Amino acid sequence: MKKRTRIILTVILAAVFIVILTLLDQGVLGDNYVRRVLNLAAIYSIVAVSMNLVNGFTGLFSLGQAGFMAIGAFTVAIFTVPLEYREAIFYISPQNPILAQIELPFFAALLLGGFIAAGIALLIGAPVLRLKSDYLAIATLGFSEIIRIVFNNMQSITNGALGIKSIPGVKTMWLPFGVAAISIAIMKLLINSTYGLAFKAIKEDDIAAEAMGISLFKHKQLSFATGAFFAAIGGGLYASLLTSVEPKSFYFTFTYTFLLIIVLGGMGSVTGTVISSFLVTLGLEWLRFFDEPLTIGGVAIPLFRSGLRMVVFSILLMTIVLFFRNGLMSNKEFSWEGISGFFKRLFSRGKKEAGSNE
Amino acid sequence: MSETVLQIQNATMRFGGVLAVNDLSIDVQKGELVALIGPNGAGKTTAFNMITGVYQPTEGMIFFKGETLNGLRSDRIAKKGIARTFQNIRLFRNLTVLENVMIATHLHVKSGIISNMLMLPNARKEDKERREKSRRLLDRTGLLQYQNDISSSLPYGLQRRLEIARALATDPTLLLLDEPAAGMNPTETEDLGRFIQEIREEFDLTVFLIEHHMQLVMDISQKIYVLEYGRTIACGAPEEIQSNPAVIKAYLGESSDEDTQKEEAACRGQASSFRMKQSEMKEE
Amino acid sequence: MSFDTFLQHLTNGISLGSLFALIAIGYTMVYGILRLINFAHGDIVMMSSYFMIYFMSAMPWYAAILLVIISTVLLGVLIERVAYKPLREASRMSIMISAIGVSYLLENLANYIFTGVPKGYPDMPVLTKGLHIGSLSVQSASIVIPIITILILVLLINLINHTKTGMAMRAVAKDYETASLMGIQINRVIAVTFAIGSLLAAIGSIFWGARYPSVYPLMGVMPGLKCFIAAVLGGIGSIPGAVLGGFLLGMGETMLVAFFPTLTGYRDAFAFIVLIIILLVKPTGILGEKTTDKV
Repeated sequence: MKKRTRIILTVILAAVFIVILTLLDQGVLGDNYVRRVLNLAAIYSIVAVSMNLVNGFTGLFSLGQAGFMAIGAFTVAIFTVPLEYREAIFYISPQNPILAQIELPFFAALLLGGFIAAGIALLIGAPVLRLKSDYLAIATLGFSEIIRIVFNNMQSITNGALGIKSIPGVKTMWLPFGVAAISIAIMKLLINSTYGLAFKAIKEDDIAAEAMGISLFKHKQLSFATGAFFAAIGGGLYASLLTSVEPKSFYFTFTYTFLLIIVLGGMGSVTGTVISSFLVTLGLEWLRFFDEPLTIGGVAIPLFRSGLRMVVFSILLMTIVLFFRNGLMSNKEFSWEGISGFFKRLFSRGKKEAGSNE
Repeated sequence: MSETVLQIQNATMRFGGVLAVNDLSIDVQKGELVALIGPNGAGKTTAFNMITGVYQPTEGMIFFKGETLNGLRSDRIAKKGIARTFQNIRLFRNLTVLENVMIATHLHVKSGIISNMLMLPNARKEDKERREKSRRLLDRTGLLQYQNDISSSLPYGLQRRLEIARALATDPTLLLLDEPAAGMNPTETEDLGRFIQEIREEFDLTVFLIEHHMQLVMDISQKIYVLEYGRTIACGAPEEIQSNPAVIKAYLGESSDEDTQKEEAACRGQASSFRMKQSEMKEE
Repeated sequence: MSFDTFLQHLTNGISLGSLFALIAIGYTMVYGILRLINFAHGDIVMMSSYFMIYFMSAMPWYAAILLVIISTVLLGVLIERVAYKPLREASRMSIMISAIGVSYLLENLANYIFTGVPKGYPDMPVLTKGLHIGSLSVQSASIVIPIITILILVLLINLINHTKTGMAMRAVAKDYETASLMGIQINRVIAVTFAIGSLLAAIGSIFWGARYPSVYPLMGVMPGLKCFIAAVLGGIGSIPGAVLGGFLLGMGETMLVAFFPTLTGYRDAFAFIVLIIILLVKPTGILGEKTTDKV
């Protein structure tokens, strides 16, 4: 396919997205509920891609995303709540006097959260990244929990178990979608660079990679810290979307949602992860009807009640894990050639059948 | 005058109760083609792993161009100029042939992370050079036509060649080949022998090789070390080794322990006499 | 702190430790054979507790206990067959993801079937009776549980070291492929391993219920993790190690809260900190053996 054709197609696709997003944002299409779900999907896609960078591309089994999200979420929470509300929120014990005076603009707090998470990832990574995959999983899970438990107890900084509310909310869909686009683009650039290739080499065979001169430590740290940075960015946006956060939301089982997303989308594919984030987020919403009693033609179907949604969801996850291990896109990315190839095959099959019917 | 590129001094490797390598001393001069042979389990690959930093020697020292390798990790050692292939092929299976070789050029990349991500001019230039160099290596090894194929889809013999191409891409001074002729028929083995000698010239390499194909070893090596149960039982030129009773015993089972001890001492003596010659020459 | 209070805490610690030990054995056995962290193990304990609630309401306690044990064992073996066996040749990440998936499914299933509202574990007077020994007041469980745990440990060690099945288990744990080439029925050995692990989970759930009578879908998550950490601490793959780790962790946690009451909120973090330390200092655990990979 000619390069010019590809560029034109990409521009058209981008224009379509921009138009749809503007319509949604302005309220012409959809309602608040739809906007919120889409925003959530965009935010989840940032965290999912960050997790895929570490797990899918570098082969490091990390279950720590929830902890890094929490760091981002609470940094935004602590620094962006307007000063006048703080006393009311920190009613059990007053907010740390230094922090109580600082109010940061949203993006500053967001980036700050990212850097803090990256820094902590570097600290954690130093001892932990050389562990074998199952131990690494438990260790990162452990750290995620330690972060949550610490947040749950630091009354004067995070307000402990009560959490923080009155976080300035997300005013436009361009915020989550814009940040998602930029974040994912950055991560994709990293993956496409020679460093990304080094990540893949480490995943394939870390002993051979090291023998070819790739410093395992440096590259694993790079991947892990970048993953943490963007998980925190996602967390900060999450806090803003929900306008209130509590440590309880960042239980390590939150990470399972992202694990499902990257397994479903294909662990070596960014496109797959993005598509899967939207599928899963929207799907979870759509599945809500499982939670309500259902009557068909006046007959009450017995199984439908609260909790069925997550059971169906878990069964879907198990099905994918057992039977569709490569996920939707395995390790392929979006490409116009891929799409035109797909349609060509579709039509040539049709032509063959039409031909044989003569 | 030739310099000592690799020097293993009384190296020992212990795994719990197992003594895999026992007081090993080896010398490899610049430009030489040295072979390490011995029955299975003799400790040959372990020796390679000690040189490349996969294992840290329990005792003894390893020097490369005069610098100590003890305590260094494999990537540092690769950066210093030692490259290797593996006994059981360790290609990056799901990556393409070209990618396998490109990765081996990553260690010398000068442009930073940001330049690489944004594909700034200096990074782009470097990338182009690396790509061309990788393609040249593939061409040299007859693999250029497969450059975009997934490496695990190559037939076994070509995979072995790819491993060599990959190792060459790191710009090594010393090339360690671990059973490069494994699974090859006599014609392929002959081609490989020629190939090794050619690349030694072309890339100014010193080659240290582990092999079981005796014909190949005798044809191309200048010096052979024979290992058994972790110890050197013989060393010398191919002709000497071929008629050496201790070697014959190790592979087939005759001769006496006395002979083995004498050989061991001779090899160690040779190594230290090389060193003495070196220091004498330095004084001149 | 008075000596009496200290003794009280010590007893609590031993009691908690033996609970951890029983469940940790299940983790260590499965890991030894399959190199798999059975994330679902803690949730099997949870399901076992729910089984008890429902069986107890329908029949006398001795029948209920028997049925609970049978159903828990069936559950464990079923999970292995359906979720782990198909992935035996796959990467470690794949099978761990499956374990996570099973855990998630069990939790959601419990939430759906039994609702998230905590239920009370049926009272077993023989275990919850209060005893007074000197100045100590303890549940009878605190005496019974450690004793039974040690008994089980002895039984298991005998099984592993002196029976054909045990030898088969050790062989599979050492070298899976060679064991199957030697004619050992891998599937049977693995099923037996899971059966024993689930059996212990069932017994563990009974003792757990005596001490912590609140039953809810997520009750197995944190204890499950801690028990795995205990297994790692003692030496993953070693049954005595699991017991040792369980006792150490249980004691440590209890003592931490006893001596530093202000740190009660950080109680759960203790296990994770121990985990990090042991992984850094001696990853094979206290009783574990050092292994090197062949390159």
